Amino acid sequence: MSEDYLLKIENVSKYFINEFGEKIPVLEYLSLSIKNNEFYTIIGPSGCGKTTLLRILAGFDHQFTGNIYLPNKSIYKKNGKNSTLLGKVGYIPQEESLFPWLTIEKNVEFGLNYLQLPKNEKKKIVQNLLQLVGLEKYRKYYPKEISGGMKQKVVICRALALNPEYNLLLMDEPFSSLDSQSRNKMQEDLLDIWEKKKMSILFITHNIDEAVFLSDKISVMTKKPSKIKETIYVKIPRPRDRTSSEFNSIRKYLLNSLYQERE
Amino acid sequence: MIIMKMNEKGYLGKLKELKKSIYLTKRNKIIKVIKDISSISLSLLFFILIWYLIRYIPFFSVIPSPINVFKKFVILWSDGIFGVKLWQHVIISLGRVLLGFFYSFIIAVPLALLCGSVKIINRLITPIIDLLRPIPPIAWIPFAILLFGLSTLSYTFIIFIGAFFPLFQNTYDAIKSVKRVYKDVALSLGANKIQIISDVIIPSITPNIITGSKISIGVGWMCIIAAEMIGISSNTGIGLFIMIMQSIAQIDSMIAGMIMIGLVGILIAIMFQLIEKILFKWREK
Repeated sequence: MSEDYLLKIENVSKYFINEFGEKIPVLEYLSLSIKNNEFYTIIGPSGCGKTTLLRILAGFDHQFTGNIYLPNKSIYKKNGKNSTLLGKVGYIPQEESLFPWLTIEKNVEFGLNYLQLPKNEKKKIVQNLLQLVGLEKYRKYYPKEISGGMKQKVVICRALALNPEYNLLLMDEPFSSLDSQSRNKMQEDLLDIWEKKKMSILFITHNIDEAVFLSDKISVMTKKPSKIKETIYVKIPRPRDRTSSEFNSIRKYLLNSLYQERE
Repeated sequence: MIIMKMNEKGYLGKLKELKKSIYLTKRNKIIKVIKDISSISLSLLFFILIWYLIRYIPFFSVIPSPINVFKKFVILWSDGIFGVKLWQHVIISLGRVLLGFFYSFIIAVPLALLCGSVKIINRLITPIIDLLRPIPPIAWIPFAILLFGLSTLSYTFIIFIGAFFPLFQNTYDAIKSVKRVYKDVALSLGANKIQIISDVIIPSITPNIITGSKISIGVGWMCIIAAEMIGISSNTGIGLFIMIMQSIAQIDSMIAGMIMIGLVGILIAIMFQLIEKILFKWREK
């Protein structure tokens, strides 16, 4: 069987139980798939369960129904530890997540310490990655000493250092805490890393401009209980001009689509 | 206009400004130290003045003059009671505190870690701790004497009780407030449960453990003096020293002993400040 996807999820549903014991469905029969080397963005109204979905994919959350498929691997089972995605995909959370007690260098090295690697090899990986994002001279700094944009780059390096088995990064609104100027810069830098590393990215955002600038493919999520409402392909060549008419027409289309999903 | 001026100055002008600002920060530091020292000395002088004057109020006339106390302090440094000098009494008391604190540390911190990470243990232990916490350490003295007799073990036990709760509580609260995102990220980077404790939880709670230790040693220091005063008989300890001096009407020696306690407290605080400064450069102010 030929595999034309890197990760595929089918009919994933999840509910929370609130304080009154009622079931609150969050995700309902949600299906999507991401291809190799694809930049895939999911946008949706706030509180629609985007983060929940990503936590399931990252392997933190096992309380769901439905199936997750990986190429050449059978079904990703709910309770089977061996089949979780933990440690096999990179995870970039929304909150600030650098360990403040470690220097930049040690932060990037963090996951490498769990592999049996010789010291100089670890050092080389860290150095190459920091060079890739242009932060090698900050390697001895502590997180509190660098800017928000730099921190997110280090977080990306830390996820990439492990060379995630599926070469997939899951990013949960990674730039939402940045001001618009550094946000734009980070988007360009991320595309740069994505192209150099030839990897796949599943990106979550509520910022339409960001989605159109970055993605090959954009899915819109419905309000709760969420599923994928529609998926569009963005075929504008990169680097994209945010002021071009093509860019704007896609933006308008998505804006409309999201507008209908207001609570 | 301001922009014009900046441009006129040019590169060299800016360099000069930079040098000036470095010079200014250095000078400011020196000025700050001088200010600190002078304000502390002023406050001490004020204290001594009040001490001196208060003796003229009839009720306080038994208080010896600060000069006498200071003289006594110097003499006591090389002299003492029962052949033990004042500073030796202090060291002995401190040693008792540290011993009790040590036992408290090796039990409270691991226990807090267990309670913070294993739910069943938490449910089992927390009610017990909530029950025992309100009992003041001093109230344990008769119990300690009953168990350990009139020995160093009794002191150790009292300090253990006093130091245990602040240490446990600080550690436990810190574990509960470790951000979930740190644990998630560590998980996704391949850490297992034990590695999450050793590589994420312990480093992020170390500052709180140090804070807990500071409070614990403070409490321990109060307990030991009370314990030495109240009942556990022995020939040594700064608490006992003060008690005996009062009973033989050596008021200036008694006050010298009290001042000694204050000085040791300041020393402990300074030591912790240094430890925090060295260990926690990474902490946000």
